[in-house]
Amino acid sequence: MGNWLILGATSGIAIPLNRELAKRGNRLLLAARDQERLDIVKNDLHARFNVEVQTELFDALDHINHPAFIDRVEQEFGHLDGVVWAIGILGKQKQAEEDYKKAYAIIDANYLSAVSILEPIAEKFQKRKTGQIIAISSVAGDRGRATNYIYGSAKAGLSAYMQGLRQRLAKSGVHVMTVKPGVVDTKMIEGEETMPFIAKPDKVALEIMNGIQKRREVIYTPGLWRFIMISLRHIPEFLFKRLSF
Amino acid sequence: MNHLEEISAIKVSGNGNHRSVMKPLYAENKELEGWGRSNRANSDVAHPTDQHQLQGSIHHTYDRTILARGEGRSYGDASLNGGNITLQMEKFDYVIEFDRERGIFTCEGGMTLKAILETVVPAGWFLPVTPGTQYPTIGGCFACDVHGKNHHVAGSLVKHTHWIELVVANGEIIHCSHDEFSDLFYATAGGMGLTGVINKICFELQPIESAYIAAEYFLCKNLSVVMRLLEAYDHKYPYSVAWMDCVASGDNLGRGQVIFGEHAKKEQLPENLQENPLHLNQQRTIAVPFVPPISFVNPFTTMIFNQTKIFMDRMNPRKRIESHINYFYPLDSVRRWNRLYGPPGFIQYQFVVPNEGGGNAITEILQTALNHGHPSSLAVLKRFGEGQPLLSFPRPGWILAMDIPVRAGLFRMTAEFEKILLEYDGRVYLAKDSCLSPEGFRQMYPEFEGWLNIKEKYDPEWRFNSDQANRLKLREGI
Repeated sequence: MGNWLILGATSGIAIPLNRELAKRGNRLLLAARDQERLDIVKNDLHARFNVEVQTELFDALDHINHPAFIDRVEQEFGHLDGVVWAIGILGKQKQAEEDYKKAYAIIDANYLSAVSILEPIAEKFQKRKTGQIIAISSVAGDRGRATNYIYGSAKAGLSAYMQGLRQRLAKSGVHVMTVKPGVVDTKMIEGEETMPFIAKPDKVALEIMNGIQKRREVIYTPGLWRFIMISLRHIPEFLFKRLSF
Repeated sequence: MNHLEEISAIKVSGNGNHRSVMKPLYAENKELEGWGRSNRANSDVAHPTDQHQLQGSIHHTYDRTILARGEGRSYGDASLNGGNITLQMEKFDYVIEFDRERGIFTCEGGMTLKAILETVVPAGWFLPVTPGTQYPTIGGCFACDVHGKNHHVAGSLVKHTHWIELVVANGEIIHCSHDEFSDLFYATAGGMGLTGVINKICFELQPIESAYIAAEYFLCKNLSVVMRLLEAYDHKYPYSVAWMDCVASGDNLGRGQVIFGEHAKKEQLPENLQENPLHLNQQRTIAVPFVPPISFVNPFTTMIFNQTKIFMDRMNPRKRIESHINYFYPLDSVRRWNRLYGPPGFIQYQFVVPNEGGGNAITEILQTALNHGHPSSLAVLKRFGEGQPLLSFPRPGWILAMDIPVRAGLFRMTAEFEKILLEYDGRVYLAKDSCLSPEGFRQMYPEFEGWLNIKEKYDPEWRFNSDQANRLKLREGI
């Protein structure tokens, strides 16, 4: 039990994950940019689990104010025991190829913003020698593919960042977990054509919760994706570049 | 997804300096089926996530009709809208408020009974009425005005509902209750989704001391014993129902098992449960993984199943303490059990007949089923109390619900059922129906005209429609 900050608390994976955390008696601070959705999610958690839930507006792209945001949060809500980074946008690969601004927006939301907010948190956790940092990355970061390499490269950056952070904080006893979901049935994939093995957010959230409790390092969810990505990573480049998926 | 169509694009304003987000709603053309799997239809299926999208989907689709669908647990064609738009409501699953002191629950229409029970039972509350499965959504339950094993004392869901919020055909949200917009409120209870989309619902719960039911089982050798037992004792118990063996014939016609029950008090529980009486372990379930090429359900397997059930029940004590899951939702332990009926599927035929002459009507129907060689594989009998106006199904009398596998000649038999019911002033439950005739419907539901006036007052262009409404020719009037 502890104080958890959920960044992107109204996202498709965060909503069931909030419920798993609240069910286990944690206090939650929900952060996102839409107050109307935040209130709906907050009331739901409070009604279901009779736990304390607070909300805070949070703009992931407002990097400059991130350190101040964390200070304010800890003052009002108390010391954090865990943080979940659940923000991401899929974007449109085609548009990103043609327009650098679109590519930048994808990299910013998926990678730069995470670094910007997780660094000051890591700093505090390292000093206190406790805490859990969970970031939702993606299987797309395991190998770049023609159909979504802007998004994939940003997620690859996030995964590598988490890897490094894990090593840095290992000595302090801070738990750092990278979550690599496959395709999850959330609004992120709405309007996308043909997606394989679509998973339900409830199942993904439960597996993330298990990972948090067992202090796992990297989890693929659903687990099947670990094997898919192992095979995908081992296809030699000269062959991979000719494939069309 | 092979066919995508953007059915609405609404601008939703953000907060202050935060960006506005465009939230388009996409629809995918796919086949949906009723729970009986004998009715299927293709439609453009969308999954709205909030009320802005709900309103937008109604505004931006003026040339097509819309139907909201929950978990698709109605048996026939009530949740289908072939060639048009289906709004899947599963993302409307937020609790809005749970008053733990007074037992008043407010949530969105897409929340399932299972999720509601998981929230309220640990706090010492229970649904005011519950159907025989915990998988449907509360919005779907209200649209069918569901009843439970306690109908004879508690009535149907609308009686316990404080208010609903309905998105109507012009995109407006109307708050309606027993006092405000009460015409719309009662037309929606049992209105099969044809008055609008239920966005929010507020209803009262009943207090419980434990998550268990104190049940009593009585085996009865034929229909008249079953009916006499229910008549003599059902007012003494909040819950009563009879399970019927429809394969038994001759002197044993209508042989069955009467089951009474009440929420167990804490002191009725065995000692090991008393410590944490509101706690239940997660129910273990198995699933039917695919549709078998042939049906597992036929008169022979039904006979074996029924005989085994009766044999097993003789071994068990008459009085039992059971979890509410086992008592109310025995079939939920097998997920997708509807697949056991194989590719053709099955129908459920549920009707109510007045107390006067009810026994004769039920005997005639059971006998007709046997004569046709189409006995019901699973049937339950109970007595209803007072009913509600307009299209709400329950009214005083006997109800019988029968699951019947689809085979050649089935619809000749249901046509005969309909004739018998009309003779005895009976009526069929629309939530289960897939074969009622337009004429039969009009005789069974004499308040249809009153309902139609309200429907057309709020939805003059019939924006909300369904395959069932088309089959019953509701739009053509009386």
